[in-house]
Amino acid sequence: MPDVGVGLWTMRSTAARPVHAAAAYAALTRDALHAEALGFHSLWLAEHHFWYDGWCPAPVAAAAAVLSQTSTLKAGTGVHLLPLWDPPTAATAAETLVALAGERLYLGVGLGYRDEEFDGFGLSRRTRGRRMDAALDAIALRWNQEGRGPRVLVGGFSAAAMTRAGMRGLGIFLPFSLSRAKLATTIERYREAAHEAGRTPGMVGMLKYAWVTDGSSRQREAAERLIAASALEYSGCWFELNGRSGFEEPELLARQLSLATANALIGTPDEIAEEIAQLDEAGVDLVVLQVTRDDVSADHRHAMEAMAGALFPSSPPLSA
Amino acid sequence: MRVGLLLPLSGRDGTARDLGRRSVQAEAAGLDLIWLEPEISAPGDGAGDALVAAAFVAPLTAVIRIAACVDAGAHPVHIAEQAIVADNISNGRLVLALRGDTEAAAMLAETLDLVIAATAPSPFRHRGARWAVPGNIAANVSEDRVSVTPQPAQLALPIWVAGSGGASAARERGLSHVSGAGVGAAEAERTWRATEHALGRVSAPLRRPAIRAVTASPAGDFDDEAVVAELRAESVRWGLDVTILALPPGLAEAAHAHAVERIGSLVRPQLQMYAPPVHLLEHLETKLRPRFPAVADGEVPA
Repeated sequence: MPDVGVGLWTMRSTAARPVHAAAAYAALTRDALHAEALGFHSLWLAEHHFWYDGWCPAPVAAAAAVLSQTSTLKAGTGVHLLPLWDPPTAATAAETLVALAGERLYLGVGLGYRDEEFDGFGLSRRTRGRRMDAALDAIALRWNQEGRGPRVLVGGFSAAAMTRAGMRGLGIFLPFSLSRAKLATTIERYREAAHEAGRTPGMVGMLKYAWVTDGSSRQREAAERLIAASALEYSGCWFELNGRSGFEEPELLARQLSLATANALIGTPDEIAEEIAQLDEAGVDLVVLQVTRDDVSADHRHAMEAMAGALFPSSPPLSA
Repeated sequence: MRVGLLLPLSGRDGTARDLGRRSVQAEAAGLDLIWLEPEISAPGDGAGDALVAAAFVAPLTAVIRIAACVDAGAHPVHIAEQAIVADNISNGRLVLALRGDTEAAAMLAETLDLVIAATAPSPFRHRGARWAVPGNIAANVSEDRVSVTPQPAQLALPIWVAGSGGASAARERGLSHVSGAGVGAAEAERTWRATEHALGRVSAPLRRPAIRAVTASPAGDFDDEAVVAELRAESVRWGLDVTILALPPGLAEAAHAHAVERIGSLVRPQLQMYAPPVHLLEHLETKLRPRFPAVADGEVPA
């Protein structure tokens, strides 16, 4: 069985689920204690900038709140948009948290894709690949060599991302949209890149939408509808499809949303546990279950409890 | 007078891992704030981000104010974003202190302008010597102005200015300047007289903070009456109203806890009135001071 974490805490206050930011961060620290008590490996945060819903712009600072009251739970970023940050600033933040909380920080890093975010920091989006490489060389290689600092996982599944991670001996963090069919070849490409560079491959992490049902087809259909709904606003506003925003390309948007539902883990807790065990055989070391729902009314705490019961049968029951 | 405690951030001598416990101790002693300060001389020791440290101690405490001392240099929008997250995690208890020395005065000034704009509710645009926000780079889709989100929990984030390059930058923006540990009462008085002259009544609402070192024994003992007398004198002389006390580095944990208890029970109470009546001071002398006996050098209190 791979390690199983929960995600992604985006800290959004959406039109569908409005919340004061301070209340959202208070809930984050409560959820961290809950996740640890249930036996989950880690809790994962995300990063975006300049959006109406207050999407968390500083996930390493938020991770500090996750780690301060917990003792074994890890905090992850899925993902930290490293090209937007100056390497010394990003490195100091992560190193400070490791100094305070121990080796419990997993730094998933990604390129970012929204022009307005790069422009806000005076950067051209076209430089993102070069900036990522420079940051990884300046920070992650040093941490690797010195045997300290957070563990770094490179987000994405493109050939470039697999090479970027493998040649440096860093881990990878695969997105929910990667199909089961392409999973094996993607991991193989990553391992080859590591071996060609004379490096040992690192950790393989993966994000998966997860929704607990009673096993009926009626609830499965409802879960698929809700997963699509929970990704609609984000995908519609943020993804550039055919050169336009997702909402202007409804057919392409629907196809994008179907990637979320088609690759989701939907079923009874035992069925989900079985699918997670199969991911282990495919070479996945860590599965992050996407349980938070920013755009639909559903309680992630109930889903976490149900899944923990199937995933960690030996863990002590929570007191009511 | 508000009384706080300086907590240095250093990964080398173990204080980083002690930070949570020491923050809780300061709150339990009734202190008003903790001041989280990276060591200027120790870049790369892995513990220098005071805003991450503030976010770490915030869930461990409930009411104490958390001042994070941040050196100018990082992109100010990132400083603002980290500060906003820390302010929300602490439910509005953050004070952001931006620090710069004389050589970095221009960078500190631009950092202040950008952080002030980025933590305010209105969309903004900035064009400075060092930073342009938004960049409006031709290859990007971009906007004329940006809003940093979310907003701080506080309606206006308190921003203080520290460091040798900070006095005039603070004055020009109507902000509080923090007198450093090496700045004596005479210089602090000159700084605040100049501020009063320049700002007039606008200076009245400004807090007047200073960092002051406490000469304590290795056991954490110190002369509380002398400390109180010095702080009272500075209060009268130039209006000192937030004192951040710095204990000697390297105190053992028990000695540190002892010193913080003494600050909370003997120093802070005497500074809450202009002239505590004699019978109160006699009570402190006979009832309270024996609870915190002077301890010989090298001896660790029980």
